Amino acid sequence: MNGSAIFSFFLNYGLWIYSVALLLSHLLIALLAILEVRRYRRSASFTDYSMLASSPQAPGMSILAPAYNEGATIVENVRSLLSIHYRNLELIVINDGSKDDSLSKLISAYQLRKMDFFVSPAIPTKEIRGVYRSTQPVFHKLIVVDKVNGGKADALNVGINVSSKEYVVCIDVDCIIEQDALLKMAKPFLDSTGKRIIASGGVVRIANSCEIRNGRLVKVHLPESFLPRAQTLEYIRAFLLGRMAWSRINALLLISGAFGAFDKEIVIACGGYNHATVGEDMELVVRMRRYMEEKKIPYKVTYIPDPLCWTEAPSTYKILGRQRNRWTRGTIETLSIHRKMCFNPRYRILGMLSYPYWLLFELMAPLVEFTGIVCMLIAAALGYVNWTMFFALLGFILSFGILYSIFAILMEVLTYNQYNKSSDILRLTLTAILEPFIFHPFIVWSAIRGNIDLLRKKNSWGEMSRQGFAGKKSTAHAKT
Amino acid sequence: MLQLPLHVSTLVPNPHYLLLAMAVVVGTLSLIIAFMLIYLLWKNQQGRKQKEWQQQLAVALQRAIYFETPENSPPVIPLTFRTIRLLKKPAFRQLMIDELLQAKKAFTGTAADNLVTLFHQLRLDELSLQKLRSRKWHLKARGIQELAVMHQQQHTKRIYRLTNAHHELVRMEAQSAIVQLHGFEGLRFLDIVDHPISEWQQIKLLRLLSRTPGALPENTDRWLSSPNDSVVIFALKLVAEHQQQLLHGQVATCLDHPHPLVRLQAVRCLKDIYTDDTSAVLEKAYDAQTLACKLAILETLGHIGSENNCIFLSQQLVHPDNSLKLAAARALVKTGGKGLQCLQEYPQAYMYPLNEIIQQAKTEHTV
Amino acid sequence: MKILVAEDEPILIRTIEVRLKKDGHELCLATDGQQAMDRMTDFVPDMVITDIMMPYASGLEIISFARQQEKRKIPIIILSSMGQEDVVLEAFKLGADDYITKPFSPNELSVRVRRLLSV
Repeated sequence: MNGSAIFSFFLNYGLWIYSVALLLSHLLIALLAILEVRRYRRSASFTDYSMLASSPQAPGMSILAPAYNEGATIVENVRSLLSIHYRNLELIVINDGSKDDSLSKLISAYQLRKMDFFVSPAIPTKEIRGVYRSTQPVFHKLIVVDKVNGGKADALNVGINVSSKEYVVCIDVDCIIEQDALLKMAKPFLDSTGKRIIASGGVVRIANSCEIRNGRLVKVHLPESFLPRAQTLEYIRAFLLGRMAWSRINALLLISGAFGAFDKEIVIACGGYNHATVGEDMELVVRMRRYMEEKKIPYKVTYIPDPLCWTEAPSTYKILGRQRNRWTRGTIETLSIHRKMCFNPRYRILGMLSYPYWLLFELMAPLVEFTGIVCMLIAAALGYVNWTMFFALLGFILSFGILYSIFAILMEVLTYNQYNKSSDILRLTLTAILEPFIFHPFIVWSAIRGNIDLLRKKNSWGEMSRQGFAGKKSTAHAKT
Repeated sequence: MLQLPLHVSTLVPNPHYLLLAMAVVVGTLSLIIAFMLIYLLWKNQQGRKQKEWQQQLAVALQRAIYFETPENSPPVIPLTFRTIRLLKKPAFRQLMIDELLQAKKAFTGTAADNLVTLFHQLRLDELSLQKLRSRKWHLKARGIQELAVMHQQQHTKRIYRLTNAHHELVRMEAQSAIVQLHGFEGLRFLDIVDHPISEWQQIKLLRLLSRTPGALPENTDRWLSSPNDSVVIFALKLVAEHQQQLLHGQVATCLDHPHPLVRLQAVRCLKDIYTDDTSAVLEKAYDAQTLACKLAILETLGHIGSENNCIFLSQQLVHPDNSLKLAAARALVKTGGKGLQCLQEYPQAYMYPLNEIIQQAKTEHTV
Repeated sequence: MKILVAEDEPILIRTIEVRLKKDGHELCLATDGQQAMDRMTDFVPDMVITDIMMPYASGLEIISFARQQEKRKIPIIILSSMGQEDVVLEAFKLGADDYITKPFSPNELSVRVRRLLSV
């Protein structure tokens, strides 16, 4: 056998097995997700969360909200965070060296005063300029920390050092958090008997085109423009199917940086967030899991399928591209840092299933796809392509993908039913059909660029410009 | 969304199979879409019907809540013909049960009694009992809940048997139900339960107990030596809440319990039932404890301590862990004059980190 | 008398409505905090009954709002749940006059309303 035959043989078998494995994994994910969501919802129907809201025995929680140049909306955001139903709560806003008037706005709006505060140096961070608390008892839950700019991971670490509670909830300050979100997040920590719950994640939903008043979500609408709508579909697939399935087998690797609760003691034992990577949220969860595996302590990472956190999704290709580029780089960096776990039986399901899956199917999928397209183009140019075969295969793959998306929409309709108008479901279905042609190629391309950029060692957040929820207010008024 | 590599290969099966598979997929897809649309229509229709029904029920409930039993005759709550007709539908009956439960949880007094009367009058207790007998766990649990909220004490035995059930949620509902129906007497199940009682469940039980009158039963001390660690923790919480100082001795022995969480709870308990000996006991037990426990001891000493503890507390200021330093400083500040003096006189009080720690402890105390 | 009732639980607000209307009062209902504050300025109530925990704005905010708004001091009753003693204390500091813990008896509420309005 000559070289090219070996090459094509390997390519054929390898890619075919890869494709079949990917397909089967999707089916399995769908099944596990159904079981887990059903179990959660049935269990939740017996739970009176309000009982926890006023209980003095509820575990203490610190919300950590790093803020950088959020002056336009910060006062509003803090106000809505302060109205969260939870008794044993402290809200720590970390001003990461903003260049705008974020800090002064907060000081005047909440009558803050600089206080003597000993900040535990448990995790090394950049310098803290001051800790502020309010002179008004109504705002006694609020702590504002002013520090030198150091990035999101560093800001979160400062928050962890300042926190005096057992659990830390890390959020993005411009996300809208439901009022009973913390109650639902706290419950898994209280349910465990035997296994220590080290982290709990919540579903993040897309807030574009939703009506927002005073920092509260008033009415849910399906996003008007295509790009956020495609992301809505993507998030439903990822959260309602993907993460619930992984959570069921206790193999979840990723908790969204927009909303996640962590056991502070374990976070500190692991050394806090890693500011050398742009995927600090995923990296922390992987490191925490690894720590528990190495110490051989039984543990669990749980996930709440209820919509608890709403965020504004990028609505332009440029910003979306940057976001996905960053996510790709973050994933690669995280997997690289923890490569010791790959197929390592010492790490049990984490090393034998989660890590390989993430590596092969999440990370490599865009690369494999891109390579496949290039190969095919070459093959076509050389006249090797069997067109019937090609279209049959293409058709099958596309339709399976669309089926998976439709199934995700079905899950959403049968459970939370946030978009309950028939017109919305039809629009989502249309989006699912258009997605492989418009949205998906762009995502693959952004991922490829992420790989390239990482090789070029570009590591910054980029400027995420946001309209802010203040912009959405006018939408609400226009509607009414 | 998955998009597989487009690759041509002779090892890939016959295109006809693929086309067939694709047809199956497209067919399934279309079925799902059709199903979703029909389902949504149905759901919206159900929603409207539910709203109508809820209006009807609201009227019936208000009538029940404000019903006054006429003298010398049994209470029979009047209902409209429409309501009686609707009660023939099982879905309406379940809605009625749900609304009755909601209402019963909101009110006390005559209003609550009337709601129970209505529950009986419409024989809805039979429905709940049916659920209790079901094999499916979520129906069983629902049945238990309904019977408990509506005060159906006659089914106690059946429910009691389920307090050690295998399924967690059935067990939890049964335990809550027994406590709802019988208050402190119901805590008998603590003798028999093998499975651990989660923190959540403990919070729930304590809440239910705080609403019922009565005192802690005699065998609380037996629970403090239960083989089930969570029972010990729960008993410690009960002792604390009901200020059972008589059990101080036994609680103190829990400081030597193998499980760290039991020891932690014991410290917290001692804070509420302290005697003159407590601070000495805590100081003695201090060194053997975990960090969380030590912090709890320091906090407790601040609360109950006196001048005698200042020396011990000052010794903790040298500990490498900053959270312990802070806890010790806070405790010293709380003990007042002598404590503050100890802090001031402490050799390293003006150096970092102690200076900031002490400053924070002082500021917190004055705020 | 004109009473503003702010409560998000439907069974509670309906029951209170029925009782107080029977007692002869004119009612304005609100199912969340924001609504309560919006309606307060137009309705000009003689008394406010509010739950402590509600969507969009807590009972405490409503009490502050009421005390800032009014020209004369109107009685305020708060509805609290078990275990919210510290919030109740906070409410009293802000100016509440009485509180009633859920679950409660509708008749008792009526009696307290009558007592506060006659003062």
